[in-house]
Amino acid sequence: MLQRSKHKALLEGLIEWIIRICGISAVVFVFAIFLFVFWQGKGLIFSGDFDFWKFLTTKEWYPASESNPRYGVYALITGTISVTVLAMVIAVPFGLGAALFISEFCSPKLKETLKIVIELLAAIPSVVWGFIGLTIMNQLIMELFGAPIGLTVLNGAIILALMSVPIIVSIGEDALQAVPDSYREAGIGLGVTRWQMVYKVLLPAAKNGLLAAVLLGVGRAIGETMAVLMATGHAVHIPFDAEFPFLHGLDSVRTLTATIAAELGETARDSSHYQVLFIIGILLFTITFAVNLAADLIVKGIKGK
Amino acid sequence: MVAQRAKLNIDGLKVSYGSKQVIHGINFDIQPNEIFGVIGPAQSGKTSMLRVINRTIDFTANAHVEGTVKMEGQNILHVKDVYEYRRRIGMVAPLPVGLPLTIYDNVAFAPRSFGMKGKNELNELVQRCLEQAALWDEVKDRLDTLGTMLSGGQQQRLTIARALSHQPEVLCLDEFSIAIDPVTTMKIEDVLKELRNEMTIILVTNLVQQARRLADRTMFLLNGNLVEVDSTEKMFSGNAKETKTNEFVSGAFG
Amino acid sequence: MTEPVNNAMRFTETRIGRNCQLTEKIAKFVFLLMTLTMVLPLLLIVGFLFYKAWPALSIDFVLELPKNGMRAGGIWPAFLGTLYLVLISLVIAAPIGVMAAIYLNEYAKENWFTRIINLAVINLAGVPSIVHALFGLGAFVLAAGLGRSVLAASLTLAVMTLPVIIASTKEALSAVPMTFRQASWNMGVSRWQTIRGIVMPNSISGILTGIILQVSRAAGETAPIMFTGVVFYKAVEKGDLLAYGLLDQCMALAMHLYTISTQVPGVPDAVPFATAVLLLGVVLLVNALSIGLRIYLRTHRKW
Repeated sequence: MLQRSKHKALLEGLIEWIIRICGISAVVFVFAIFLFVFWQGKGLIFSGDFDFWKFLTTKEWYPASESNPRYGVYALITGTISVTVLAMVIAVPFGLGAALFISEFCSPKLKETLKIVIELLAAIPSVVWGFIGLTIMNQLIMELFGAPIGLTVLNGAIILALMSVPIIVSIGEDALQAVPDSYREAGIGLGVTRWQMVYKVLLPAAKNGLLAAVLLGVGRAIGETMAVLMATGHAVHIPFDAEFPFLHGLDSVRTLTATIAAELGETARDSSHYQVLFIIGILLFTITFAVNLAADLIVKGIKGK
Repeated sequence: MVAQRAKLNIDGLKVSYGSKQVIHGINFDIQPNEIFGVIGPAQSGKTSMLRVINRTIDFTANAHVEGTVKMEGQNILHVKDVYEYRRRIGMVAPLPVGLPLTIYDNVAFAPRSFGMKGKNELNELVQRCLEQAALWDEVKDRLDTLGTMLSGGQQQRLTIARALSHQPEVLCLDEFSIAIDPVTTMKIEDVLKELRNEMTIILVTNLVQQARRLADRTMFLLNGNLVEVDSTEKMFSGNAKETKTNEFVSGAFG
Repeated sequence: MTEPVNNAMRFTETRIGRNCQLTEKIAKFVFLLMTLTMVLPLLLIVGFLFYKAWPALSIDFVLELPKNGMRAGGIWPAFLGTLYLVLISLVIAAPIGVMAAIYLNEYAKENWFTRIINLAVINLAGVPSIVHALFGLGAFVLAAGLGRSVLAASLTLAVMTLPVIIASTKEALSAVPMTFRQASWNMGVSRWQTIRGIVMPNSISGILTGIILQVSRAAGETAPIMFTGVVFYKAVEKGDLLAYGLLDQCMALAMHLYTISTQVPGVPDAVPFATAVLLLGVVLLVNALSIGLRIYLRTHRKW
């Protein structure tokens, strides 16, 4: 009878423990990120000089001022929102349209090629996108719209749209594929055309997954740093106002992410400026956490059915 | 039958998955070197019983087992090294499975995992197991083919060879013939008749006639209850103690 | 899938039927157009990048050091730095990620705790790159005392690539059918031996695909390395492969592209375009490798 040596059993036990520890690593890191970022910014939060409400709602961003530092990120928030919203307005219809095309209307060979192209699109580094915004898009916008500078909301939005589309397409396509073929067959059995079947049967069935795809695209857009840093200009400015078209795409703005990237290098460690940038980091972390949580709950909602 | 001489002694076995109870307290013995048949309609608890015996029921999260299962006096439900115990039980599942390894490696996998290294030793073991499983002649020239490329009947025999590779004392077969052709089934039945000399065999089957052909004693399980256990001759004679048994073996239900 | 619809169309030769067919064709055309609107700009952009980069592209560009304040010469230190960062971060992230995925797919029970771990993986994947930079700064540069260094930057990149390695490894593991594991357990082979002997050898290609994909991500990210160890300029020897120590600071391609396109005035166009093309080339090449591996996988199935 072959025996299992005590030695081997112990070694295996050890390996299994290491596996378990690695298993919880993701949880550990999520907590760690929150903790360490918070830690660097805590001085300012607890100093009594910091009013969180004022932080969120005022638009005066003068953190480096010697005499009167003000930490209002409202304009930066609108910067992020404007670029994200405009990007989604472009990306969502095109992304969902492409997802529909790949999933329902195209031949298997073309499908293969398109999926590869989308994957390659997704692989392009954000700094290269930023560079494209800085050079190609910049020129294009200046020529097409006669704008004085091309580093604007529109520039950032187009770049972000191209960056978010792959996520929307791939997860959207997954969502459409997850709808059982029996739905499609039922639709076609009733004699409707492919498009009618898609519109009346498929889209309603896949709407949760498609919504999750869009949310994840939004999360991506909100969190993007380098591309918007290089493409949207450097103005702390609110691009919304009561005049049509309400969102002025040709204004320059600055997003939350870009602000941290642009200013951190110039701050002295542990200065108030330094700390407020970490606080913005916490804000970003919380926002993307919420968006991702929402997307996950929606996806779990469909799986639970 | 004296309880001590029994190979397996099951007493008051109850099994439930969550709130659903599938075995309601059964008691029986299995003698060494016999072929013990277990018949009964679907959902009778036959597979669950086997999974208790080889302790793979441990892998089902909501399974709850009560009672005692003793192998030669030792309660195997509380054994210290489960892996070592499982080696003493061979299991053949209903659907044939070839591991994605060469045929040679399929059979050598278990012994290698337990430390057997010698080339000659392994060669000998692989050949012996494949011969015993009536598969050697068909594959001896292509031992490096992938196990997943074999036919269903060949894969089932490969499973038997794998089971034999760790020298079990008890061989369990769970409806082994449902997915294979009649010719292979006959081959395997002959194999089992040979193997009985070396080990105890528990044959769970939905083919009543198969039990009649092979088993020394047969047990009839119905909806998790033990209806009757007796010599096969008696069970199939039409004059078994319980009416239900007579009805089942004559095909009145099932 | 197209056949049933075409047959149905033979029976729709009414006015309503023809309208339906028309809508169908329009819909298909519109969606095709939408897809092309993404694909074509990509091709145009890449083409344009190449065109502008052409004057500066050469082997020397890769091997030489930057001269004249980055305005001429090559990008060797940046290229080398990227190599270091990618390798070190993967050496750290891959084992942890693979083992975490093994835990999740092979050991974890279905309970609230496992749900939390899965949630954490998804959320970790969604953390903005600049927040990773802040984390790296706070945790590795400061708290761990590594200072701005190759090691700190690599660790930051490792945390960033970890969740995707976990997710893709988990997918590769779950593609191995349960029946294989059960057949192995039936023989008394332990859980870990089953994983090592059957599950992993049959999912290794899928695991590798996922890891390779993260190579391109680690090579392309700028924010996480900006404040944790990568600098504007570091002197090294031309073509020297061992130039950086773990606690040294280094240059990197992604960072280099950022600085020469935004911080240095008077750079001739070809230089940043060439850097962009090189970075893009590295990234796309690695991705193509991963895609190729996947296709190879599919044609060499063992079951």
